[in-house]
Amino acid sequence: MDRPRHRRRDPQRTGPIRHSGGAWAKGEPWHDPLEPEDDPVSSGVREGYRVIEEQIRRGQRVAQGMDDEPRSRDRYGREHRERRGRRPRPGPEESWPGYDYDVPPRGGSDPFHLLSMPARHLGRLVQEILRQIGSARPDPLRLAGLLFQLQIEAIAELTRLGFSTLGLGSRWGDAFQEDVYRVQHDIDEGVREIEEEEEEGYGEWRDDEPGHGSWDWRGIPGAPAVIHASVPIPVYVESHESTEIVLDLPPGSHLQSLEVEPPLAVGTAEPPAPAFEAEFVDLADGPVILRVEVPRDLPAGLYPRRIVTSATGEPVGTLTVQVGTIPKPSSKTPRKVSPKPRPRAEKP
Amino acid sequence: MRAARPAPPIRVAIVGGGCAGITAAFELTRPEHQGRFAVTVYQQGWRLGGKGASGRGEHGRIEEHGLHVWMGFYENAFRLLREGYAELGRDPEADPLAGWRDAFFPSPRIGLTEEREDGGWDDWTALFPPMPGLPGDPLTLENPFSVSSYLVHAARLLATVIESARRRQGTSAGEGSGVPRPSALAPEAILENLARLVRYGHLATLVGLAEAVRGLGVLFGAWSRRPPGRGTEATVLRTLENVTRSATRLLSELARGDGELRRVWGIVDLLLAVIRGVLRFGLITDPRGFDAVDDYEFRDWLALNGASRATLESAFLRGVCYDQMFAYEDGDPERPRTSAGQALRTLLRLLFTYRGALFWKMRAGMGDVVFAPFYEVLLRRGVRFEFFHRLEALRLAPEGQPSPGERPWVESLEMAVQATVRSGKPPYKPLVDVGGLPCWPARPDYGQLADGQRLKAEGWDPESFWDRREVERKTLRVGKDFDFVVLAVGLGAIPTVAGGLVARDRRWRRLVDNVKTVETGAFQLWLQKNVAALGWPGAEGITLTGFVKPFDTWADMTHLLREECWPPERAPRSLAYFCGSLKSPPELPGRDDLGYPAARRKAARQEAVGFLDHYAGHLWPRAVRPGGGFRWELLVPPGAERPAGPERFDTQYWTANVNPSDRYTLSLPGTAKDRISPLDNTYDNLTVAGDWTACGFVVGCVEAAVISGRLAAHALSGRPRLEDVVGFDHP
Ligand SMILES: Cc1cc2nc3c(=O)[nH]c(=O)nc-3n(C[C@H](O)[C@H](O)[C@H](O)COP(=O)(O)OP(=O)(O)OC[C@H]3O[C@@H](n4cnc5c(N)ncnc54)[C@H](O)[C@@H]3O)c2cc1C
Repeated sequence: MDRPRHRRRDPQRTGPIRHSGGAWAKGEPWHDPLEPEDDPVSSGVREGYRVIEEQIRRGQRVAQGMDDEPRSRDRYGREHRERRGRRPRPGPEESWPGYDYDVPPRGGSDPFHLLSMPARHLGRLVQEILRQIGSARPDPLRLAGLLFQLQIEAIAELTRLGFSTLGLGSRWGDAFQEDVYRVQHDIDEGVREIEEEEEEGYGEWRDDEPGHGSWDWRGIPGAPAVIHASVPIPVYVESHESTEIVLDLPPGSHLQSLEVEPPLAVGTAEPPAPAFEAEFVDLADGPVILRVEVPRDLPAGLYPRRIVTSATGEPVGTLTVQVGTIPKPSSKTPRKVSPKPRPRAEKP
Repeated sequence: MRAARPAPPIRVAIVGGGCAGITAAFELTRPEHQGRFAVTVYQQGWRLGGKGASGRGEHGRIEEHGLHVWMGFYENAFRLLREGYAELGRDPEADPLAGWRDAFFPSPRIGLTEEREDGGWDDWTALFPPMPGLPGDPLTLENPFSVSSYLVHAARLLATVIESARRRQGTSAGEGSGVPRPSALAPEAILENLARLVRYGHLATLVGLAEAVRGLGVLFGAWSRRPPGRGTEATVLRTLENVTRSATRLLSELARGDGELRRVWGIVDLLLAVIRGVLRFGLITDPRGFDAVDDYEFRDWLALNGASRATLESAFLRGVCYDQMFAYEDGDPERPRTSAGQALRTLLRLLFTYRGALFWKMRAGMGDVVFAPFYEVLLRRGVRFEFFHRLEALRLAPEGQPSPGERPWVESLEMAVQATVRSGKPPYKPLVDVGGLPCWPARPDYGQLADGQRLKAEGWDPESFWDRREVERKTLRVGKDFDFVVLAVGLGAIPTVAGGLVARDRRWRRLVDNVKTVETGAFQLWLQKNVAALGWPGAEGITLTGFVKPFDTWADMTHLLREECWPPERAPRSLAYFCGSLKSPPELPGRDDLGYPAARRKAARQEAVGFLDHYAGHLWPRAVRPGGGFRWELLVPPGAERPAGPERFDTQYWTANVNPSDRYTLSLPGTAKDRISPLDNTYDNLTVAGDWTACGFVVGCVEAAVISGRLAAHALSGRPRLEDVVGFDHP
């Protein structure tokens, strides 16, 4: 049968997006047309990637932490208090597409800034390294970051002293070499131990069931946080347990100065209920961030708090922190992870 | 009231049933399209598969175009494969190779071989650890294809490699010296040591390097969301230079005289050059991605970025980036050439994005485990297959015919019908049953063809470019026989079948002039002994590359024997595949050069026989006689005849892949821009598919072909969405 000729529509584009991030940066989650969106396996895997994302973010935080080093946590608070009353500067309007919990760029946060930093805070750095090594669940990424920082500081110091940086070891003779090795060995062992633990999880060959061997949760270290924020405020989480954080604020409301209300008193005679710490911090040369810290002893559960304006105390939104671990499926049976509702962690 | 008549389906003619054409057919007939497209696949000869075709010969012998393995990063190819098998719905209890995991198995090892100064050869095997997930699993929010992610991975790998080098050399002074474990060590002692360490700057030694690189990884990680500014890159580069200088000095000294360490060092050096090059050339932020360095030859580019001569000549680089990609211009071993941009993209994807295993091997021929299942699924979906249809000419509407604003279009497809089915028998049924598995035969089923016995007697080869026998001509017309065309033939066939396009369109001229192909050769040996008995000291099932040209790759494919059906008393013990690019004339031979294929086949045989006589002994010391020369009696002939000497080779299988369409597509420097995209809309009803197209992944492989097929489907139907073509958007 003869028919009029079909014409094609112009394609949306004719080549790949090659710059960093590609179409992913547009924030459309990778969607498998044949996999129902709520399929437990794919959402489990999706969650897995979020966790990885969080790990990267932690690395980023380490790097940023290096930059913010002069501002100790106390100082954060103090600066914040000093700034209260001033209108916080708006964060970048555009949230990080697809990663609503992500850290937007801000001036001065360049982690490599460090490379030209003069040597300082060595004591604190060393202490932090020790704390990490000694802690029950050291974070290898953080540890590596700290070690690197230590190295940078050493390089900076040497540079200041007029030596070229690396490649210097031999000039100092072998007397110190042993110390170097010994200490480094200790640290390495610690890191390796942690990594081996992780890798046991990764390395296991899953030959059982096609299609289900997609992710092994046991390989994922640290305490992941999944963050949903309705406004573009970076959320920094410090927690030993996995958390899910929902920051619910109406659009634009983050442009004013905000506070997280203390937990509501249950009864006057009761001791104060355990709570997470949270505060909005206005960084000197960047946006406002929300810092959330979950104390070690906070039991698994759901912790809602109100957000109010600093000026009038009027409630504008909520911050909900759910503390609990992501379930660990057995590697033998096909994984059935249902992220909704998220199962609570049993506290040891 | 009369119901509205549904729109008649859009008729799509797909010419060529290789990976690309079959993918396009699969995408266009997805149930989601609700029958919007009526697809016909036109294929010369009797089988699908093209460069990936295989056939069953005597005793079900699997005979292939060459060795095929799939890489663990073939996300699109595996995704489709898995969907195909799911739809096929074979019974795991009753059917052989019922699921995709039955059909493919992980192969995490790659063997490399390296010539020593004394002329001997050293082998080594690199084991790539299993990675989470399986290829084709859904990807979610995290983008694995970013330069930052690659840098993180590269840094991690470096740290591991340096660490293992250090351990190997026993330089960990603390080891065995009774140093308490960190947690048990008094904090003050560590503190004191660390303070001293910092004071004297002794981190600048090998022990510090691993950490430095690890730290680089953390910093690279911080880039994953926020590309660094140029200044930052310069600072990191400086740090990297320092790391490299220390590493070079220490490791290369250690490595001298230690083969294992030397190889490790080769990989470190390669990765450092890659990282340095990525930073120096600003590839993190360049909108062209890795195409920004497409004009460079990969080894030149690595040298520019400080790779040592030893690294440039290492077996790892040669094996993985050249031999496996047949990357020798005109098949000349003296001219290894591949684009830096494309090699970089492939290498990083290969090393850092594979899931499950680095390689996946097939349990039967690629035709059996890939093309037969797809053929069955597509048949069920209503796709029509026209075998023995060879496109002779794709004709555009005459110039000047499109009115202003209108695009030119394909007016007709002229087909040579190579054979017809005996009356009362159509359509041609192409598959045969081998041990319960539907397979392609190695030759047409003459019994189904009109005049079949004559064709057989005449030695007719409908896959040969030079065999022009045909029974009739058919002209398919736009609007009558087709609406859209997907041109999915191999690149080498384009000048012949689309001469009009090439003459009229400068871009098509550049495509055929600049994007080169190369002939390949392969042979398979069925042997009386297993590899251990032949003297191979390593593991069974090895794929070894970097060996003598032209057959630089050997794979132990003994696992395939289970799928063949030899009489027990004659069953071979092992099956070896050899493969490589053949030195070939730069110009495609003419169609009237009738003696060409036979001459090339003869030359390939000679090469193979010489190769076995001279070099097989290195791989299999017990396969050669004490005085030298291959023990031909090891070869198992399928028939009763048992010729002695090199004549025994003739009972085995070998091929010189010289048909223009079967030539392997190279990625020579500076040619990515000359390719044509399946998304190109210059011709209203024409799109292209094949590993030679500008499909984003510009490398001759199954994944590229599959991506191109998906893009061709997108061009016609808007589906799959470009974001769903995994890794199309890639630096
Ligand atoms: C020896 C060898 C080994 C390889 N090993 C690997 C490997 O290990 N891993 C990997 O990923 N890739 C490998 N490749 C590359 C891989 O095979 C190809 O990239 C892929 O198969 C290309 O698919 P395609 O559909 O683009 O083209 P093709 O497979 O060439 O398909 C083109 C189709 O068009 C048909 N055709 C041609 N002309 C006409 C005509 N005039 N009329 C009708 N039909 C026509 C052909 O018969 C064929 O069916 C290898 C290639 C070779 C040659």
